[in-house]
Amino acid sequence: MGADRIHRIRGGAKERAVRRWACLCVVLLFGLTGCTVLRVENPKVERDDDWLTEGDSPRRENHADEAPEPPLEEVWRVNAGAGFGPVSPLILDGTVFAATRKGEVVGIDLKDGKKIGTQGFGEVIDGSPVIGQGLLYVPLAWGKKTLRAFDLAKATDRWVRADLPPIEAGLLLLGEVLIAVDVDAVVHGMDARSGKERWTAPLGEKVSVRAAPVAVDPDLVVVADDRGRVAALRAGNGDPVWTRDLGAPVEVTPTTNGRMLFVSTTRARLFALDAERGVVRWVFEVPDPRVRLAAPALSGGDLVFGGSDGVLRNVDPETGATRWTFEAPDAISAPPLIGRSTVYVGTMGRKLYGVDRSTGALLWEYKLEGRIKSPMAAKDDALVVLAEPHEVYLLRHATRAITAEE
Amino acid sequence: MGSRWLSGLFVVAIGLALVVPAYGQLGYHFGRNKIQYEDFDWQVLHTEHLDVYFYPQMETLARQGAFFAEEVYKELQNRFNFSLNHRIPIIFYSSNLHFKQTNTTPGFIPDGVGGFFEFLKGRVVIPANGDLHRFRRVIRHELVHVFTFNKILRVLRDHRKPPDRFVPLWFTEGLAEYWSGPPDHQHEMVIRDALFANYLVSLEDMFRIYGSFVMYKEGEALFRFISETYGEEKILRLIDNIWIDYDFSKVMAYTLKEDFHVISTRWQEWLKAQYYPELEDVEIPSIVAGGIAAKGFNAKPEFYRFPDGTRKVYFVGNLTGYTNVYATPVDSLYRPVGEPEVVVRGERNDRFEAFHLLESRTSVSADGRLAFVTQSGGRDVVHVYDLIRDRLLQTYAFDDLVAIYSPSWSPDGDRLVFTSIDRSGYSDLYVYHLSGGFLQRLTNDAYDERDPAWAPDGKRIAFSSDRTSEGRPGFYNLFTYDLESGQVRYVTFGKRRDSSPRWSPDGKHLVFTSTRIDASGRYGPIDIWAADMTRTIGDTPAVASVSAPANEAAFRPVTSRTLLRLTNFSTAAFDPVWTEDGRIIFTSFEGLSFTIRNLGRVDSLLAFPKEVEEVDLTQTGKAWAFAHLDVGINGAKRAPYKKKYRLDLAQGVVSQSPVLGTSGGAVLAFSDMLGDDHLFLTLLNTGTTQRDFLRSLSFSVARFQLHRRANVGYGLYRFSGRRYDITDPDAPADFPFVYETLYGGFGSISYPISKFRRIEFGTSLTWSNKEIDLRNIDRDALLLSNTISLVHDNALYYMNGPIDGWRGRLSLSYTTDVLYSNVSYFSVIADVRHYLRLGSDVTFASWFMGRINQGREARLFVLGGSWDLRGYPFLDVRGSKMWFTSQELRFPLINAPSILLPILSPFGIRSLRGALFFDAAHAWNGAYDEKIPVIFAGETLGSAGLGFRLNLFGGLVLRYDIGYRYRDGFKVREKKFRQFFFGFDF
Repeated sequence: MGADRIHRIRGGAKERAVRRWACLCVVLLFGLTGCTVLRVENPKVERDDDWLTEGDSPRRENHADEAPEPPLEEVWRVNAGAGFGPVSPLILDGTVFAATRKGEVVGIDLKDGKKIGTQGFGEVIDGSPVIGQGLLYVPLAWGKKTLRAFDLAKATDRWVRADLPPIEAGLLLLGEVLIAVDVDAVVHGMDARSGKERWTAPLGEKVSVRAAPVAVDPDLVVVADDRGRVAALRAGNGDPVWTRDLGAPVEVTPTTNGRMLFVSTTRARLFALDAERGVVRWVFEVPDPRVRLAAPALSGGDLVFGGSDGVLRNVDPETGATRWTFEAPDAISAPPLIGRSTVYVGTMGRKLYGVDRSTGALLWEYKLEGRIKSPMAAKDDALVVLAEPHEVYLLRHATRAITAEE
Repeated sequence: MGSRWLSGLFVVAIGLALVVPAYGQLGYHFGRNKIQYEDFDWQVLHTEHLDVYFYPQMETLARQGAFFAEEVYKELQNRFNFSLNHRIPIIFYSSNLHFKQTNTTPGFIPDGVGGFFEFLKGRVVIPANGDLHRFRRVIRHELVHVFTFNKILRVLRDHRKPPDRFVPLWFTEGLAEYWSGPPDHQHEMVIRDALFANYLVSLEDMFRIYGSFVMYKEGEALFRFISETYGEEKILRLIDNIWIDYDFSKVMAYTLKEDFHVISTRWQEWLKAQYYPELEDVEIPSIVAGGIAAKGFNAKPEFYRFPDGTRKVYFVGNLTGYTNVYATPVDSLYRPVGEPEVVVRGERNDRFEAFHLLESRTSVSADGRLAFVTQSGGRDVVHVYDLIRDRLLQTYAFDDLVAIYSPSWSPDGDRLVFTSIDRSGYSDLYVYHLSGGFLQRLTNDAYDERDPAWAPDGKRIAFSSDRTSEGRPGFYNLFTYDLESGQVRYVTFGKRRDSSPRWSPDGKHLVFTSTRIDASGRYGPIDIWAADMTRTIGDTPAVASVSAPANEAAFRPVTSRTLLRLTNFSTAAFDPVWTEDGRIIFTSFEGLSFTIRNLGRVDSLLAFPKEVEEVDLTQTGKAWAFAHLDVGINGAKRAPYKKKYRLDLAQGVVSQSPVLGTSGGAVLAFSDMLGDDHLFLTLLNTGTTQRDFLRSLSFSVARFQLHRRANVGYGLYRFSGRRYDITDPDAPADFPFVYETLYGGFGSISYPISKFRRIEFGTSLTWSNKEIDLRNIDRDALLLSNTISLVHDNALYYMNGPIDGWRGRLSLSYTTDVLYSNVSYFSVIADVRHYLRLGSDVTFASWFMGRINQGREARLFVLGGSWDLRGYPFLDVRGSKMWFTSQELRFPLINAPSILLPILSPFGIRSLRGALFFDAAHAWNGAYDEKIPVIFAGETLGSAGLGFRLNLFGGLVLRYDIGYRYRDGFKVREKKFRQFFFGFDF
């Protein structure tokens, strides 16, 4: 009996050892593959200066008073594991979220740049996610599960939509309504908590949407498609309010101040529309029709946008008159970010520029690892920039002198 | 897998390249020579985004090219919404003949190649060839490639997808054509022909025309369709979506939101809707014009009536694969009365090295002398051939002229006018005075002069040029050069492409070809026109070519000219010649073929032209010029070229053998930007135990310099390890393993006498220690080996191997142990392979080879297998001396053209050919008849039978031979053998 017991005890120890090794292997495997869980403490607590959606608000103004003043210095840089589409980084409390074209969202500690976690959602994220009520809503540009609401506190999916076509455009969260536009140009208004469809509004056949929808006011949503048609819908039920054909595709997110809507096209024109009725107020036109205009940023009397010709333009939002231009040597495809007195813009030439908001004069420039083609985010006197090949940068006002070489 | 195998082969090849000189008797190759005739003094112009490589003689042209490139860079930055984060190296050559000497690619570059983008170093290599519009367009084309390539790589990296997928070739080339400018006349010509001759290849079947000119133009048409139908932005979306699937048809369907087959169908319908309405009115050349040479590719016709009244039409043609000058005898109605006969055999010898088949006209003088141009060495030369006595009279070469085109006789037969490109890269008119022996330059500017034709009165020379005030967008008009005053006058004017003028015998008309942009915005067909030259033109010249500025309004002419369109062809006509009998001979493009045809009733055509156009010559405007980029503009700097080695290849190799164990190695290859200097580093270890590691370490360092005419190589090596060596005379025949350690260095020089012949020298000094355990051999030697070889190769290759010409090699070498005299032997190798063309598709191939190794430790030669002595095991016939012959009749069984009859194309089958063969060989070591059965030595062996060669995808040849093998001097017939292998014919 004693021998039998000893055998059993030994056998149990062996099993435990095997189990322990297996657990260790699983942990190691997870560690090696980088699939650490993305979890945030108290994600429902949102502060005013959090950057929870592309452009910082449903109006997509890309304006932040809390943006740092130049010169800036690099505080940290994190490898996100894959490149970025035209997606905005998000900031919730002390965490920066960056979505990649590998279908992952990386959480990074704003303070020290340490990775908090990486969450895989699918194949590709090409539209900006949005954060609200503790949920991270992620659109996927490929695969079956194309829209996911991820509970940041529990690190689990709250709900998943597997019945929608891919979504390339960023999401819009208006209170309890989440608005997404799929690649077949159908606008979906859904319950943000459950994902249940409230309404749908098809924009047309053989049309795609890449530009994130904007909200003129809590009840009026505007969507622009790649044939150049702009449609205003009621946020509550999707009823059409007005439509306008701009005659040129729209592939970047518009911006609005509530009265006017500013839409960049791929064919050298930026349209200012009356937000209420969609009437064209004025058109800004670049002479070279091949110039693709980037998404605009808006703050007070400054409407700032770049273009593939490398020119950053500040125009009067009321008249379209040019206030100043700044010429960068490389294409600009990302929207600028307007600070208190500085406009930041990243280029395809790996450069981040800070120009004087009132004159357009170059104040500061910084060379990054790769091209900048995503919107930026700002909080707490820090600027978050996404750059090729897969870098997330945090820059702050330089506390020491920056030499010319730097 | 493939790359691993290739890299392994590469290591072996490099290893062999270094070891071979040590023994001076082993493997060898044939091949033609790419010769560096010019010693270019390379300079670099660093502009905002580019590094432009050029040589001083072409600096102005290079600065124009730099301007074009910077101009298109900004445009493409907008189109791609993308900037490049590296500088683009662009290498310019001033002419196609210089371009052919480039070392940036190892292959031979044919006449029609306008430039290329090379992925490895991201280099763009472009020649100018007199035509600045073409130069500009090619720069644009290649820079589209640069942007496309970098954008796709970026997209794939962003999505973490491996770069093992790419867009199809029709996409990259079609996009490059589409974004390099509006559709040109060649695009219209090809698309019209494809539609009217009904060979338009659908989108699904584009693979069938992979890499062809038709593919380029169909791709371009596809992009026009996509842009007009789905929107220009979708083009960029297609690139942005490349990550979605390996199958590009799925990427297209997803992006354009339409089924792939629907896209294809819609595209074809879109094309047909544009072109088919024209069918109602057009004339098909093969119906309205009699054929003189209707097979193969023929162009540049000329005519001569011999004193005995016989008439012959001469043309440059490619009926057999080689380009020749042909003559077809014709009757009084210009109907052929015999088959085309070869007058001058081209592309087989140094004198007639290459013809410019579609670019250079020929001319016959009144006394029957044919003037034509070929490349000979590093430049073009003008030949004068006596048609009556059937012999070459003279060849004229000019030191300062690189390329020469379209000579034309003066009426007195004492002068030749032609266009030529000097080292600056610009095309101008020249006259050569035969009796005086001097060259006269008529024009000297950046305009492109073409196809001069001497007037019957001897006072004027007509030519085509872009010097017209409408020339900036690429239009060409006709002009005359007045030999007395040196003044240039307009003959035609307007938004036209007027080409190839020739005078009527009475001098009253100029016949030429022309195409115009029609109401649809596209070029129409290229038709034959005639200009009425009887009307007196004002005395004031239109454009002064030499002494006066070209932009003065006072030099405008004061009258108009009547132009008559004589044809209404479906596609294109070229090179019209007005015969003394009132006929027009011309080249016609139809059904993807260039043929020589004739039009009768010219009087009737003049009386009832298809169209009459009155050209107002008073509307001519100012001269124009392309801008160029100056040093200092936007920080542009000029500096001498400095060689910097950059890594081309870094490859690790691991191999495993049950006998030799595991071996591993690495290859590193470096070269400079111009490809003139190559460094190879190899590292290999065949050690089977840890202790054996250092002992079995092999490495080599080699440098090859290709920028001079003589290619020079040298290096150092250490090779050590056990190897399977069936050529070692001391190794056991059934277990030929040798452990050898070699240290040494080598040097080699390959001097090309011409494109077809070269002399090779090789020398090496090697310390050798050889161990053969089974025979208890431990031999040391300090081997000095010297080799000299003469190589000839003018063979014409087709899909399965050579089909015409011959190649041969004679090698002598001597290897000796200068320290211990353990090794001392000489080698002689003679190898001749001849290919007799019995018909256009039937070849009789003969191979004769003798090899002798004589002396101490003379190595063994090997034979056997499908590649030489068929029916015998692969490389199992061995001897230090041997002779071998193979006779083979090669004939077609199935030809599967991919465009016009695409039935077998989807299966990858390009051809199935048959071969009746007879092989014989005898290998021996000591006495001739001393038999060693294990290595088949000492007896005459042979085989005879039938073989089949299946060509797949144009590159892979599968071989299957059935026959009997014979032994003992053909006294014994052994059982039937079947042998399956792969590889090209000898």
